[in-house]
Amino acid sequence: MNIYKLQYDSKAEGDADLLAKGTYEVVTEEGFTQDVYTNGTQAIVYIGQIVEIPGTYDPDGKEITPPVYYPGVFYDLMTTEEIDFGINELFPVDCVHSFLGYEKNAEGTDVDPDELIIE
Amino acid sequence: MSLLDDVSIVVTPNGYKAGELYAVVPVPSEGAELVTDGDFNSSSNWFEGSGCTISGNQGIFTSAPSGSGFTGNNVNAGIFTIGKRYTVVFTIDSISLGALKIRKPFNSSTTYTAAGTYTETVIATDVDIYIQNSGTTTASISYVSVKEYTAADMDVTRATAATRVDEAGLVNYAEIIGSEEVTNGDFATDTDWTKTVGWTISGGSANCVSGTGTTISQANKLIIGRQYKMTVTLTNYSFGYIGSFGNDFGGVVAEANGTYEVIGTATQTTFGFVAQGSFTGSIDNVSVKEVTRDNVPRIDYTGGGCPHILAEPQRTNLVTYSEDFSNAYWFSSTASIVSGQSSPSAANPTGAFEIIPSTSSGVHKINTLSGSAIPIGGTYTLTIYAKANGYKNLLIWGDSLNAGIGYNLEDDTVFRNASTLSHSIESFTDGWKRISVTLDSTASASNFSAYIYDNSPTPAISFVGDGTSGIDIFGASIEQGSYATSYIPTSGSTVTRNQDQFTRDGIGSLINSTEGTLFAEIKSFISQDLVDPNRYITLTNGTSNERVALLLGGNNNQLRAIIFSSSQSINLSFTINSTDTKQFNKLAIKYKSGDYAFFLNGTKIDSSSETNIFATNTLNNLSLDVGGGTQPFRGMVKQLQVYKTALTDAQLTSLTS
Repeated sequence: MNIYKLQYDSKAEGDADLLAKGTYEVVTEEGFTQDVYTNGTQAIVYIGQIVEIPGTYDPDGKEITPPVYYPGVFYDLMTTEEIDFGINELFPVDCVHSFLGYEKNAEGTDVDPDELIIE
Repeated sequence: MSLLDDVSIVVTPNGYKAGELYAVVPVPSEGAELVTDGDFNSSSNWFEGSGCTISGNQGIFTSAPSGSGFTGNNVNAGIFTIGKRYTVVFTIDSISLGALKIRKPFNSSTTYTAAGTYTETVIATDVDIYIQNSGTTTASISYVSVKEYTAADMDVTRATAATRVDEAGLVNYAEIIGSEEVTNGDFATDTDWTKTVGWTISGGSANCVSGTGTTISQANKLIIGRQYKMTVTLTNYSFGYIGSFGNDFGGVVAEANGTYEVIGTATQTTFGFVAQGSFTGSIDNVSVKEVTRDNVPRIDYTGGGCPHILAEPQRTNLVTYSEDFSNAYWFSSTASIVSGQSSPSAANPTGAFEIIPSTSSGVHKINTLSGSAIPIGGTYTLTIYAKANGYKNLLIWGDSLNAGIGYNLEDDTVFRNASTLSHSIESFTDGWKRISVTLDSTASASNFSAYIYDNSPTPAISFVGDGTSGIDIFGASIEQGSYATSYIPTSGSTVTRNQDQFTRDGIGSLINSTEGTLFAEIKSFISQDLVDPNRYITLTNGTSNERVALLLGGNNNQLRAIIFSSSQSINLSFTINSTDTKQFNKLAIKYKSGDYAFFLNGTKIDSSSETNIFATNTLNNLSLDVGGGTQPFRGMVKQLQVYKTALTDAQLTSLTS
C-alpha cells in the first residue's frame, strides 16, 4: 500500500491535481453527484490547514491568540498505485493524520500496517 | 418444501477471513474439467503458435517470439462463458528464457519466469484458452486445467483496520488471530529458548539479572512483513527494561510489572526479548500470534442478539487523543482525572478515565484545549463512552456553538438539549453508554466539552463535588457527518478508517437473469442521509445499466426497489416512506416477465405487469453498491438471499415476515 502526504496552495488546486492524476472521478447518477475513488485509490483525506503554532484559548475554549498555520492545504492519499506528485509530495516526520492500523508517520510506497502499543 | 431449497445465494454474518465474507450458500465448488488434452498428449485440440510445438506430453516454446503460445483449438475452442469465474492451473516444467502468462480466458497481469504449478481464479473475459509467452521464450509446460469455480463469498475491501462491538459487547478490532507461534511460552521447561548471558529459565519463568543487550529468543518463528500480536507478563521487576526483536515494536516493551500487548510487523524471522539498562526481572506467558486487521469484514453485535454486517463510509476521528484524557490535548476545570478505570474496550480494558468533580464550588468539566477541535463550517457528530460512577448526568457540549446534549447515564433521559441536529444514547456492557450528538458548526468552530452535572432532580451545572464520585469516560470522537460510526481510536494524530466495500462478481451461474428474487434484511444508520442518499444492494452486470436493486432511499425513512435495464427498456421503481429505516426491515423484490413485485415486512407494497425482462446471462454480480462501485450501501445487513425463481406472493409474504 502507498501513502502520500500532499500539499497544495488551495483546495481547488489539490482537488484538480488529484482528479487529473486519476485518483478519483466525479460521477453523476440519478441526479446525485459524488466523488468516486478510481485506479486503486483507497482513501483521499482532506486535512485542510495544519497548525504550526497552536492558538491559545480560555477555559471555555474562546480564542485568546489565533493559531498560525503552515501555508497551503494538505491531503493524505492511500492507494495501491505509485504516482508522481512532484513538488506537491511532502515527507513529514511528525504527521497530524494517519490511517487506522498504520503507524502515525507511515508514508511512502509499500507501507505495511504497523504499530499499536497497548499496555 | 422449504424456501431455502430454492435459494442460490445466502450471505449472513457468518464466517469470514481477511478480504472475504463467506456465503452460507453455495458451498464453494469446482465444475468439470473444461480443457481437453490438458496434458499435451495430442496436438489435435491445440493451435501451436510460432516457435511452439507439442511433443513428448509437453508444450514446448523454442525461442518463441513474444506473443506466441498455445491456443485452444477444435473442442478446446469457445469453452468458457464470459463473466463466469474459473480456476486455471498450469505447470511450467522448465523455463530458461522469457516468461509465460495466462492470456485467455482472462488477460492476467501475472507473468511466470520459473518452473512450478500456478493457480489463478478470476472472471473470464474471453471464451478461449490461451497460454501466451512474453518476450522471446524457451520453456516447456505439461499441464493446463480450467474449471468453473462456483462460490458467492463476497470480496471485502477497506485497507485499514476498523472496530466493531464483539460478542461480549466490547469495542474491539475486527481481526483474524493466527495460531501460537511461540513454543514453551510459559517456560514450563528449560527448552526451546536460546539464551545469552544473564538469562535463565526456572520456576516457570525466564529470569534475567543485570542484563544489558542480552537476549532470549526462538528462531524461525516469524514471517517478515506480517503483523503479529505479542503478549508478555513481567514480574519481579526491579531495574531496566526489556524490548523485543524480530519486529518493529522497537524501544521499550515493558519496564514495570504487568501484562503487555504489542502489535507490530516482523522484520526478521527470529523472535525474542533483549534486556536493556541492567534489566532485572522475570517474564512469563509469552505469546506471539499473527494478526490481520485490514479488510476484515465486521460482524457487529451492537444492540445484542443476532449480529449484522457493518458497512460504513470513510470517516476521520478529529480528536487526536481519543483515549488519553491526561494528555495536554485535554484540559480539565475543577475536576481531577484518574486513569486506569475499566473500559468498554477489549483492546484497552483499563483505558478509561474517571472525571471527579472537586470539592470546590463551580463547574466541573473536561474539554479539548483547542477551540477549533470542531472545525468551522459543517455538520459534526461528537461521541464519547461514559458510565455513571457516583455522578450520572453528563453534558456533551460545544462551548462556542452553545449546543449539545445532556444525558442521565442511568435512565437514558435527556436533561438538557440545545441546538442539536440529532442525538442518541446506546447501551454497552457493564453500564457503559455511548452518547452521540450531531451539531452544526456553520457559524463557529468550537471545542469539545464534557460537563458533569449534579444528581439533583433538576441537574445543576455548578455544585460542590464530594471529591470521590465521578463519571468514567472513554473513546472520544469528532466525525464530520450527520451520524456516528464505529469508534476510531487515536493516539497523537487524527485517524481515518476507510470505507467498507463488498462485491462478488462472476456468479452468473447463481443468478437467473430472466426470473428471480432478491431479499435483504437491513437497517440504516440514519433516517435520511443527505450525503449518501441512495444506498444500494444489487444484482447487476457489473454496471448500473442492468440492475435489480433494494435500497435505502434519499427521502426520510425511504425504502425502495428498482429494476432497471437500459438494454431491455425496463425502468420500475417501488417506494415506501412509512417504515422506520433505523430498525431492521425485510425487503424483497421479484422479477419475471409480467410478474414484478416489492415486499416489505410481510406486505406486498407494489407490483407491475411489465413484460420486458433481462436477457439471459445478463446478471452476474452481487454488490453492496449500485453496480460498479458507486452509491455504496451504508448500514447494517443481517442477511442477503438470491433465488433463481420469482417466488410466489405467499412465499414472499412468509419470507419477509
